Amino acid sequence: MPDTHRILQSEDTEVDARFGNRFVDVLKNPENDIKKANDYQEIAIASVDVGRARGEVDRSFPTNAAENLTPKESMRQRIVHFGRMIFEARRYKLDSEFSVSVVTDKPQEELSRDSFDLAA
Amino acid sequence: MKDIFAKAFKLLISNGEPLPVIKLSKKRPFKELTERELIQLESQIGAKLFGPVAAGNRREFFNENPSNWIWYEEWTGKDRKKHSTTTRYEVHAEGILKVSEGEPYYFIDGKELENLSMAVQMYHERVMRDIYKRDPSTGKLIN
Repeated sequence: MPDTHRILQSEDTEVDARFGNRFVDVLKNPENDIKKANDYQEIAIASVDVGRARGEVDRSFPTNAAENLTPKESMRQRIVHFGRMIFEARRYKLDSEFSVSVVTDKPQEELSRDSFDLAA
Repeated sequence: MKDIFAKAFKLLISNGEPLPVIKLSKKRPFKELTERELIQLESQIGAKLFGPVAAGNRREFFNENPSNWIWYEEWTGKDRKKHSTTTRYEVHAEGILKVSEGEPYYFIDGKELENLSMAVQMYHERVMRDIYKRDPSTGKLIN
């Protein structure tokens, strides 16, 4: 899964999610989750599913992906740039609702008890 | 060669028949669109970048992924048979490789590269505005 990024890492749980090229740190404390998430102005996700937990996260498009191209830049670079922009916009649209997988050594029941609601 | 274009055909054609034109619901635009449907919407714009398509003919132009652009053209020949050609432009470190069925691969340059570059830029501007409702320059939502 080359375009999957780890967004949560705590002592016993790792969560991977795919949303373009952005990283979001999501901690276990719900208040910190929101605060941390809001620190990122370029979050490209709408929600996060972690086990049974679900969090709504303010989203915006990764605007820094728009580079300023000059006429001198090669046409190849231009094609690469615009292709990436389109692909990212498409992925963003598709990923606005997505699930993340949980990788942990904990039993599923214990994980569920640890689940949290980011929107709380 | 067939494998190279398999995904493109899958995106464009189902059971050998062209897919109907996708129309967005005003109430729930994009709500349930798949990647394939989004690409088809993009291609509807891409096909119009190069002028009108003759009646009975078909054209597709779309971004498959960050590294590949697909051109598809379908027409009726003088023999009254359907003909089609698919060209795939692949981004490589050395340049843009043109891969066409039954033709030798080569890196495009000169006017051909310039034309593709312009087409890609036009595609980007139209698709970002018309489909994703984003400012092409900043990526920000258009109100």
